[in-house]
Amino acid sequence: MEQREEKTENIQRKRSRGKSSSSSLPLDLTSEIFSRLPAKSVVRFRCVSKLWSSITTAPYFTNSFETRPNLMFFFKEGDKFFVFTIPQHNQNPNESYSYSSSEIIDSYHTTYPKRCCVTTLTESVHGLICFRKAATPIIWNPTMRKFKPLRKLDERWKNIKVSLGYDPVDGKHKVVCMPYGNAFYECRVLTLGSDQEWRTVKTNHKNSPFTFHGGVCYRQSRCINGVIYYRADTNSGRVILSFDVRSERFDVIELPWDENFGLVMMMSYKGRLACLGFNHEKNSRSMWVLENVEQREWSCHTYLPISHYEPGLENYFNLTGITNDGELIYVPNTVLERFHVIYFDAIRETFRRVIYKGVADKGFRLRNGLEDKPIRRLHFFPNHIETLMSL
Amino acid sequence: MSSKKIVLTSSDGESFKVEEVVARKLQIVGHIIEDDCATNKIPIPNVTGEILAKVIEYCKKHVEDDDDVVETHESSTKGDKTVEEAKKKPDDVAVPESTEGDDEAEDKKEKLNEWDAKFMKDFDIKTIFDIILAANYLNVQGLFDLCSKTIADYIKDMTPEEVRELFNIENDFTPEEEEAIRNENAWTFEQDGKQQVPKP
Repeated sequence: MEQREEKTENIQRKRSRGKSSSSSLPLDLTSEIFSRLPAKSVVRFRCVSKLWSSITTAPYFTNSFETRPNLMFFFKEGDKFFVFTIPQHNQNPNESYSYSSSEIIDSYHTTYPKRCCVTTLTESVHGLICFRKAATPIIWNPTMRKFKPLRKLDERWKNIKVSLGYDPVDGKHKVVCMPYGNAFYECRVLTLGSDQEWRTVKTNHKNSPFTFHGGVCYRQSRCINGVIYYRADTNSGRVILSFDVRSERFDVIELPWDENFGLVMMMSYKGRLACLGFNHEKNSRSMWVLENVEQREWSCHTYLPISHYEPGLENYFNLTGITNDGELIYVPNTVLERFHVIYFDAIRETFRRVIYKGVADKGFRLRNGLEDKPIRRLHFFPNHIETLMSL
Repeated sequence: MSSKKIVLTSSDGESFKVEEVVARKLQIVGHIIEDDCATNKIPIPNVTGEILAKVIEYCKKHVEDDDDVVETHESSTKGDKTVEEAKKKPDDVAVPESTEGDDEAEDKKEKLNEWDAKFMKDFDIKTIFDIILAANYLNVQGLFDLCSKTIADYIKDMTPEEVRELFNIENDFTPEEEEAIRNENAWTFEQDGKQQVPKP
């Protein structure tokens, strides 16, 4: 009886409170407001109430929480990563040449797992990045500032190539591992967020094994619209190997160019596979775009070097990727005081140079105890979005 | 064009005479007009006169927007993006003539954004809550988005305690449960070294 009376009182209190204030909002409106908050605020508000916690951790919300893509990068100093997020969006798309300045969006530092290999990173795939530590892949969510080692692979696989894919239909990330340096007929696949078990998938193409040739891994594979593309070798020569993340089927794409073309980087050009490289015979830069996957139709575009716009730029800037709007991104190979990024649309021939304030300048170095010396080995992740996904 | 007037009546009996083209910006009203169910008087039973006046003021200013005329489904935000992307495609093939048109359109949009910002500045947060409820009920997508963004910016740097008070939410966590969640996400309580730039 006492308990019942107490409950009645509580109900009455809630009702009277509700009537006196009209500031309660229904659930769907609350979700709409959450989707307009920065990730940090959304996560902080998880302790407001059980309802708010469940809204902001539910897959339908975390899957739909998407920010505008940014350029994210970090450098390593001691046992820390220093992480920066900067806007890559072009504010003045109609200008063919511009020089502007911008603030950074976010920066922080974090310790990272020991003996983690930072030269074999994946790209940022729907907000996550994959490292390798010996034969153990490690998933990093830069937004949630968390690392997660995955279950160890087969003991026989001493050296692995890790790639990360995303299926946009089901909203699932998959980690794909292949043996590195040896010919292989199969790979291991693990779906994040499920039972986290490795499964074996055959590569299954005319019984020919694939191998990977050397090079920095983040240029080796690219996930575009639910398909991971690799550069690979078969018995009959070099090919592009594709892996459909949803169906887990492999396929082979023949290369459209001759031996005069040297492939430098694969990337996504407005949702299609693009291959950038150098034509040695013509001494020019070319971008091949896979216009039609089924028909294997390619187009080829020759484009100008950035030194065409300002002499000597190619000595200081490296191509690191391309924005979703089709602008090639050139980043400095060293940072001492000022930090510039060049965005170059090779098709429309627009050029813009942006100086970002607050990246490893004197103030930043003082606050973080960093020496006054050039910073090399920055690692860049174009089109990085924030994801609230738990690991 | 048409000089037809529509009278909208609020829950407390206040009447607003508006051009039909403005009334159609309230999509729920637009549907009533489409179905030809309307006399010239349409009751809006869930919205007070004070709030309805603000919604109408917004709709008058945005009468030429294309956004609200687009048929929206449950995922209206995605619908807006699709329209935006569709609009972008002609720009990719832009010719010099349309460049001038683009500049004019951008200038107009910028002035409209300034008007929006000033419009929202006049209200306290409780009033904005009422307006967003009305915009949601009447299906005025642009005003709904504007209110959502304004409320998000308002609460962005608040503490959980402040948010509970504002939204009238009871804390149903035990102290231990709350502490565990706070610890797991301790980084979200750190002050930013830099002032965070509002997301575009």
